[in-house]
Amino acid sequence: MEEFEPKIVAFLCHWCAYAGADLAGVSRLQYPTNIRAIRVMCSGRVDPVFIIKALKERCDGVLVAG
Amino acid sequence: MEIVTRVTASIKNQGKFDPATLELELDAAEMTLDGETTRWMMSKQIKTTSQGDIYGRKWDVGRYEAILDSVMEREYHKNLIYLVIKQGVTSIEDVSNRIGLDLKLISHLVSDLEKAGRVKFTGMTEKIPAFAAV
Repeated sequence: MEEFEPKIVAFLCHWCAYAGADLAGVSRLQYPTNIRAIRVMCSGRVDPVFIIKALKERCDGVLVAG
Repeated sequence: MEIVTRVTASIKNQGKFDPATLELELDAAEMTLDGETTRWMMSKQIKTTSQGDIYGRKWDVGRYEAILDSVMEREYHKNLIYLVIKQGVTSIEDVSNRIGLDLKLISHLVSDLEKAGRVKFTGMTEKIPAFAAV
């Protein structure tokens, strides 16, 4: 049986978390490919409704980083 | 990277999320977060905890958040009841059987929903009060 690979939506702050993810990519560091990143200008911009909507759209988890 | 790895592992352990099994709860949560009451309370938080309310009383953040949590819980329950009634459930007892809340609490919240014009009393069905969504 295939291993379960979750779909995770990540809301990443432009100034810190997204920059970190970008740096990891540039530095060729390996990290799980389950993350679907959405860049926001600030993690405070993330409306809790976005999280509910992501779950309703069948993603398995949501990460807000900033 | 450590956070991403940890979050991925944690979600893998929790298993696949099926929104169909929690459709009602997700809809009620969305209505609560998008609702006027929650947004109004959120908008007043910084002013009330830093400058005080209209009576000049200053609230500490912990107390305000505790009240915000209880208001959100109440709104969530109201929305859950509203959605069940909208689906065609008419009596308080059937609502309770469907969502597992206490009869007294449902009665109380249904009268709130009635006052807000979201639910109306449609009469008695075999001596049991019946309600419908507006």
